[in-house]
Parts: sequence; C-alpha cells; structure tokens
Amino acid sequence: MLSNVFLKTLRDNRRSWLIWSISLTLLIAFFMAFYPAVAGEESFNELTENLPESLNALFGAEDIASPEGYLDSQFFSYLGPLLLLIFAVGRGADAIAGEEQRHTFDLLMANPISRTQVVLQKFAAISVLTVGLGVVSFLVMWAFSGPVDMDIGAEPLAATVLGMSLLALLLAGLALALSCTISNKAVAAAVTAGVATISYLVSSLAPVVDELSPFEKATPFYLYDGHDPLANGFSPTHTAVFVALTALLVAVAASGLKRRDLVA
Amino acid sequence: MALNGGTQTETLRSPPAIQTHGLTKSYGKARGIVDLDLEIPHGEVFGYLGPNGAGKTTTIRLLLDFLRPTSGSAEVLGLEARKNSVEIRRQVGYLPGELDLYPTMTGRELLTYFGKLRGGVDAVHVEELARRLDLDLERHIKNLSKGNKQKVGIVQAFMHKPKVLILDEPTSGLDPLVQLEFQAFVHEATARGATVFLSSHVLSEVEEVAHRVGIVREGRLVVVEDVRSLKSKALRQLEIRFAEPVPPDSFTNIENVEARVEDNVVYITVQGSVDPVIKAAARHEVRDVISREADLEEIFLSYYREQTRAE
Repeated sequence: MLSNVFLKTLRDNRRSWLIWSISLTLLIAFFMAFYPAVAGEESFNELTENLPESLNALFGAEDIASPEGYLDSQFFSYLGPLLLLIFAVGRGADAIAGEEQRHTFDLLMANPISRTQVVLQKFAAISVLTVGLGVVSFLVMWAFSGPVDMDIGAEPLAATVLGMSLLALLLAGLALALSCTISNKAVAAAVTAGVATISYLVSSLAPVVDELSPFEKATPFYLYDGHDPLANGFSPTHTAVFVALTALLVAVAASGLKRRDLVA
Repeated sequence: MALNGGTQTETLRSPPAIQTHGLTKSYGKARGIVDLDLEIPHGEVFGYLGPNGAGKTTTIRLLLDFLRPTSGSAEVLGLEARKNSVEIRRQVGYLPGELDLYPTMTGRELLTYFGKLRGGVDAVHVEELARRLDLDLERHIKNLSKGNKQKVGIVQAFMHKPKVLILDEPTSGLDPLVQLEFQAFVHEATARGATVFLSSHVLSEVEEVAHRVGIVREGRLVVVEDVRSLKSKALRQLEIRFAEPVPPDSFTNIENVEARVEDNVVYITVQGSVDPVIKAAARHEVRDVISREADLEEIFLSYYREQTRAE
C-alpha cells in the first residue's frame, strides 16, 4: 500500500472510509426499514400536497409513497449528495493544500515525482473512495429493497448513485483546483461549499421560481438529477459532461500547482 | 587544500554540482535572496551559513524547484532546476529545516514509501543507517521526539546514496553523539564522490565537515571562504578568572588581542589563535576559563575589518 501516491492516499483514508461506509449503511438501513410504513399510504402524499410548492421542490418530496419518491425524499435529493459532497470536497481541498499546511509536502516533493503526478494520483484515489461510498449505498439499498418490498430496478438505482458520486467528484475537482491555485484549504472548501449550495438552491427552486429557470441547466445538480435517473436510468450525455468538467478542473488544478511556489 | 587544485580540472570536465547565476527571489516585502552566484564543485562539503531569515531556506527551495526564481537560474549536476527538477530530485537527498513527517506512519513505513517513490532503495542500507543513529523504525512518528524525527529525516536523505545532499540545519535537535555519527555520514558520502550543501545558523555546526563556507546575510552572499581562513579571522571571546588580581598590562602586548582587566577577571577578544593568550594566562593561577566562539555577526564584522585594512 506504499508503492505510490495513489495507494498511499487510499491507505491514509482506510479508516475514515470504513467509518463513512458504516454510517451510510446504518442511515440507509434505517430509512429503508421504514418504507413499508409509508408505501402506498396516500395520506402521506396529502401531507406533502398541503405544503407550499417551493418547500416540496427543495426537499424533493413529491410522491413519497412511491419507491422513487421515497428514495428521493429520504436520500437522493438532499442527504445522499450532501454526505458524499462533504466526503469528497474535504479530501479535494486537503489533497495538496492540506499537506502544505501540515508541512509534509516539501519532503514528499523531494522525491522524483512531478507535481502533476501527485495531483492526478491523489484525485484518482479520491475518485475511488467516493465511488466506493456510492457502491456501498447502492448495495445497501439494493439489498434492502427485496425484504421491504420496494419495487425499484437495479439499473436506475445504480445510475442515480453513479450520478451522485460524479456530482461529489465534480465539486471535489473544484475544491482541488482552487486549493492548488490559491494554496488555502479552508478558502477552497468554503468557496466550493458556497458554489454547491447556490447550485442546489437554483436547481431545486427553478421549477417554481421563473427567474431561476434559465440557470437550471447550468448547475451541477441538474447534471445529477435533471433527467430524473431514478425513473429514467443512466444518461450518457450527463455522465460525459460530468467526466469532461471534472477532467477540466483536475487539469486546472495540475496547471495551477505547476505554476506556483510551494508553501513551506 | 588539495581540493581546490582538484576542482579546477574537475570543472573543465563536468559542470559543478551546484551552480547559480544571479539567482533572485523576492516575496513582496519579505526578504528572499538577491543576485546569488554560487559554484560548488563535485565532492565538496559546502557550509551555507547565515542567521535565521537570511535566505538560506529560500536558496535551498529554489534549488529543488519548490520556489520559482524572480530572476536568475540554478543548476544542479548540470541540470536546469526548473526544467529537469524530477531528474535532479532523483539524484538529490534533501532534509528540510522544518521537518514534519506523516504522524500516523512508522519510521519504516515512511522510509518504505519514499524508497518506493524513488524506485526502490537498498533495505539493508536503510536498516544500517537507522541502527547507526540508534533509531527505532517501528515507532509511530507522532510518538517520536524531535531528535528522533530528525533521525528519520537524515536516513531518508542518505538512504538512496544521492550524488548531492542538500541539508537544511541537519543537526538541530540531535545530541552530540548522534551529531558525530551524522558527520560520519557526511564523510562517507563525500568519500564516494557526493557533494554536500549544508545550511546552518552556527559556524560550529559546519566547521567540522565543511571545506568552504558561504555566509549569507539579509539575502546576499557576503563571503565565500575556506573554513580555516574564515576561522582564523573569527573573533573568540575569553573570560579568564584568576585566583588573585592580575597586573592590568598582562595581556596588552599580545598581537590580535584586546583585553580588559577587572581585578581578578580578564575579558579578552582574540582573533585567530588563542595560544599566546593561554600562555600568558598560565603565568598566573587560573580558576576558570570561559570561551565563547564569535557568532556570525562578529565574523562578518571581522571580515569587513579585514577588507577595510586591505584597501
């Protein structure tokens, strides 16, 4: 596990990743267990119908008695992306700037390895860890769907989890690009959190706020759930745009780090 | 010194181990390094001296391409520091001045990791270096004392038998016995042809191992000189306590000596050899001798004094 920066980064995260996996498993198991109580109960839908349209839009609670609506309201529209974002953005912001702040980067860079290699290998490791959390989420939901009698297809579920992971990685790429350019972990994470929050609000409220609708398609959240993956499955276009934008941000990160002085 | 004769011909055959031309780094208001011209031949141990904040670490980080120069250039082993940094770092062993290591790794894990990043190093050699420094590689770095962390840093700098060693304040935090072992590492490195660039803020740290010394002050290299001639210019301060008061003129007629007598205590500033002072003192009953080596500032002053006298 110590052969290169990629494996070392995985190794550094092995404990925290395990804790995240267990927490996600417990969280998902918890809301899955309550599905039978909600399934088919029209009264729940009456409840949400009485709420203002904008609140429902924000929390994704439309038809919470259906499998898709339930998963959306409990996990995919808010909590799932939020958790994966926290995991990935924190690691993106920390990858380079964190080592600089802890003064370990000089010694790492005394080895014959280019700055670009370090950026690429660290981001590759963050990608594996983040998608790994997505895989755990998928497996737990899939495993519970039978016992709780939830009628949901594996393909749309996998597509949604993939989109959620890619969303987290896109913003991790942004945090990495910022931290490699300005070498300040806290600012990079804060700016990324701001971008994530604004784009979440824009994409959630666009259906009910006319002024926002022109911007809806420009947000990362639209790439994630604009095509309603839980109902419609995998979108090659959205996935390709995710990958391209993330690659662009990682390239910006590498070039930003290449240009500047390292902080001792 | 035979070294100088040897290096003349060496320069004709291959580029110097380290060379800079007008190397300048300015950071806004803070002091960096100004117009540095250095040339360090192969096989030399070069002591890079200066007070804290003089620009020593800036110079080192420029050589390793951690910093980009405002102007000028640097070459290590004939390779341009900006363009061939990866290749340079393959040939260089580096010990940072402010050493921070991954706290959750053990010494062995850290050395394994860096060894792998270098494409593998001789594990037997690593064990041997650790053993000689009396370093326990199984302990987690967060549980090591400052001195033991420094030992891990020294092992990682020497473990791949680099052609050039760049060591920033290497013996800080080390006890005297370990310092001796470190000096042995330096001698062994030069014996196999390596070049050593050693920074420090105290002369005594480098005088045992360095051939030449460069002194940097406020970002400028003020003097590069052979260690012995520098020391001969250095001022030493002595305080000698006698059993009873000594005649006021006891030390006044010795060359290069300034003395002030107060009852049974004499305060002396001597340039070069202390031998005449000791011989003069021996005529009386000596209770105590306190010797303090001139600090760098005093060496600068004596250097400038020398310059003015020559002009």
